[in-house]
Amino acid sequence: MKFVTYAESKHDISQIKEKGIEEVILSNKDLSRYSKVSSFIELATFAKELNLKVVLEWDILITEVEFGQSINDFQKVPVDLYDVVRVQDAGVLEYVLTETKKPVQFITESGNHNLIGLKKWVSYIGERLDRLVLSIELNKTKLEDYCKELNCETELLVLGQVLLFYSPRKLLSVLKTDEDEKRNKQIVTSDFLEALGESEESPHKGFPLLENKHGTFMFHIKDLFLLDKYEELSLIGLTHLRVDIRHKSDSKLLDLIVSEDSIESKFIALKEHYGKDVIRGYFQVNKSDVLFKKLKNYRIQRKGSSYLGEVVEIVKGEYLAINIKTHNDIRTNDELKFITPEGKELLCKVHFLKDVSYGEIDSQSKGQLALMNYLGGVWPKSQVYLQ
Amino acid sequence: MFVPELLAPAGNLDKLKVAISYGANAVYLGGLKFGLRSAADNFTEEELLEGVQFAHDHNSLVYVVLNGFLHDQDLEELVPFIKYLEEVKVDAVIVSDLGVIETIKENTNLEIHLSTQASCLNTYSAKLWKKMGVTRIVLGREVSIAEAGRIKKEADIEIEMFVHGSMCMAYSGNCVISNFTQGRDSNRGGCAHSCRFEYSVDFKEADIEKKRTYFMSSKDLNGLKVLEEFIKAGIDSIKVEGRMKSHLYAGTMSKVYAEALKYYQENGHFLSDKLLEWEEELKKVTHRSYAPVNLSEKADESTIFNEREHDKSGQYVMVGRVMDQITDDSIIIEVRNAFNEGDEIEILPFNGPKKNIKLTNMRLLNGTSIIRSKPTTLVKIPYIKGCEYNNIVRMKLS
Repeated sequence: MKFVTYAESKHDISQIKEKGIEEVILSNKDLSRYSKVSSFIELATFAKELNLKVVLEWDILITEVEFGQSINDFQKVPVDLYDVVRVQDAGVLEYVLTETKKPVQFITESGNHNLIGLKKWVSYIGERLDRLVLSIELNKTKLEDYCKELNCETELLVLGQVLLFYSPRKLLSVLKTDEDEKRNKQIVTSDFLEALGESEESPHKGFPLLENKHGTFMFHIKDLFLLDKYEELSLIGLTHLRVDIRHKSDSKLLDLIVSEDSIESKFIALKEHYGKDVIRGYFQVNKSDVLFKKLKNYRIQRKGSSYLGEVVEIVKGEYLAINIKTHNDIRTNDELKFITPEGKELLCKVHFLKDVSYGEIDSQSKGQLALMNYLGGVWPKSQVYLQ
Repeated sequence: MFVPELLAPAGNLDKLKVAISYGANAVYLGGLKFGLRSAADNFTEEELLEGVQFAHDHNSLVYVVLNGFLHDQDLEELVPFIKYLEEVKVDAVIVSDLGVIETIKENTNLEIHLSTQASCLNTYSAKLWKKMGVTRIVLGREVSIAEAGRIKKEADIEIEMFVHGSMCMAYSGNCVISNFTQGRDSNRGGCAHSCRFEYSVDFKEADIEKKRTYFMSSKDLNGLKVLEEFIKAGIDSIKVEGRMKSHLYAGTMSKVYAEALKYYQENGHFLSDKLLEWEEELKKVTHRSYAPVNLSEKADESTIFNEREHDKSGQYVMVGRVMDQITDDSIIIEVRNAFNEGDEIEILPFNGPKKNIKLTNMRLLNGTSIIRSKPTTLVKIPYIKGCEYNNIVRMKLS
């Protein structure tokens, strides 16, 4: 299990080499979502001189009209300065596979929460696949299953910001410009605009926000920290652990991660030094679908072949009006079951039936309204079944 | 003359019938699982069967959304459901996850459309997904009509685009705010719409106060004015967002866009006062401010809906729907929102102009005269020729 991380300066690269990390992710601000680097070439040249494996990150999502420009930006990078291309957009993946000969690290962090899909990506990319970058929404059991089955290198983010939102629209600069204008300040456009956001409608305060040429990003208020689970991670079968501390600008962090100290003590020290609250995300368990049952009232859903229709009106002491919705007819003397929106079940015999002219009838069929004897405790939207 | 398919949302069986009756060529709907709208009514298997039969009887198509990013355990439950979908002859399924695509291919011969949730944004991506077995791509909402036309031509695949409705501010499938702040998987149906919250944004500069803003909320898409661009670009299907929205929404959108497409088909242009009428009709439905968003050019700051409330001025509310009629005597309305004697209501027939009615006489089914209707009651109003079951009854908000 090896660490991989990003570098944004020669100093970072030297430190990475010094710490025994063999692979570095580099990019520039044209190709990468958050990179602030202007000169990939200079950094990549330096990294190659140090015999590091260089991963070129091209992880932005790209619409058709921007694709040509992005290809130009990509082609400006000499092919001998990187070993692998790291991509997320399916179109970029297809471009790299069909128009270049470079191996690919494919980011499957957005969705891709099942083995069948991941296996298909592996077979589609074939020998050109260098690694799959797995989603942090997978729990440790799933990660272990997948690492056993996938037969390729696998990577997981273990320390870094959790991206919550990625929009191509520039949402911060307009706010900043408004404020600057209000204060008659000179409007300075920035490649990189940062802020914190909080909402009274959410208990979470201080979401890091970032706007750059690729759009606007929002991150979780806490960073992901799985390094104190290092022993468990090592049993899972992941080949690479990714550390992304570009937002921290703290060279001591990397020292702590790769120090010679015992695993337990160094990661405790790291957590203490980190200076930001951290979470484990879904590493232990992912139950993000359990609340769905509470989002709607299943009692007002029709079920089974005895379904008749829905109560649409109640005139107390006089009648219930039922909208007959199925091919089942309602007849006098039928025994009916009503299920109210609250889940109460009531039984009732049909003593009389009337149509909308208020004339007596013996039966009523689909698409018609039927008025029958009143039954207390039934509400509109109660579902009606033949007994 | 070619015009695109009009694809409308069907949040439940009633809305399916409304959308198709008002002119939608196809509807999309969700089963009880596997889609992205867990809070919608959605369809039980019995309702699905009836919905497909109704649609096919009216020469319309049914697409079922299976566009959640499904987990392994979901895929196990998916197999019997997709077999059922094939058995009841749904016309296609809408999918965003490669594992779901593989599961469908392995177990059925269902036609597969790629959901906008997969964020297919360019020709190379379209070519890749075509190789994966999809026959139609619902492009990401960041793609313009011109780009879509190019993708269609280059990738040689059916293209569907959103023409109307609410917009994600994020690239679809790339927002997990709900997952990490509310424990609800937004990509399996639990989106809590955190992008519509008011936020205070702090630039951490001493002289700038925190700015209160709805900066992540997008205006609604309205593509009526650029309908001709869709047609000229050869877009195969134009889609209206909104499975969670009302009968009034489903009916109005279907009626307006169907009439517009029909007009173009017959006349080859939109140079008509009808365009103004259609625009007015779209404004009558609850909406955030409208914008073309990305359809013609990249969305800029003017597409942010920096407000909490929808603008209700000039808007209408659905007060009921026609449930039955007694020829030459009365029309029976199921009341959704109260109205009074003397109010002016409008009935929207499936075809042709609306019918304006000033209410002079209202009765309950037992003959009792009333001056104010109540929700969840049935009310008789005087007979008007040309109304049908499920016609929408609406009234201007005062």
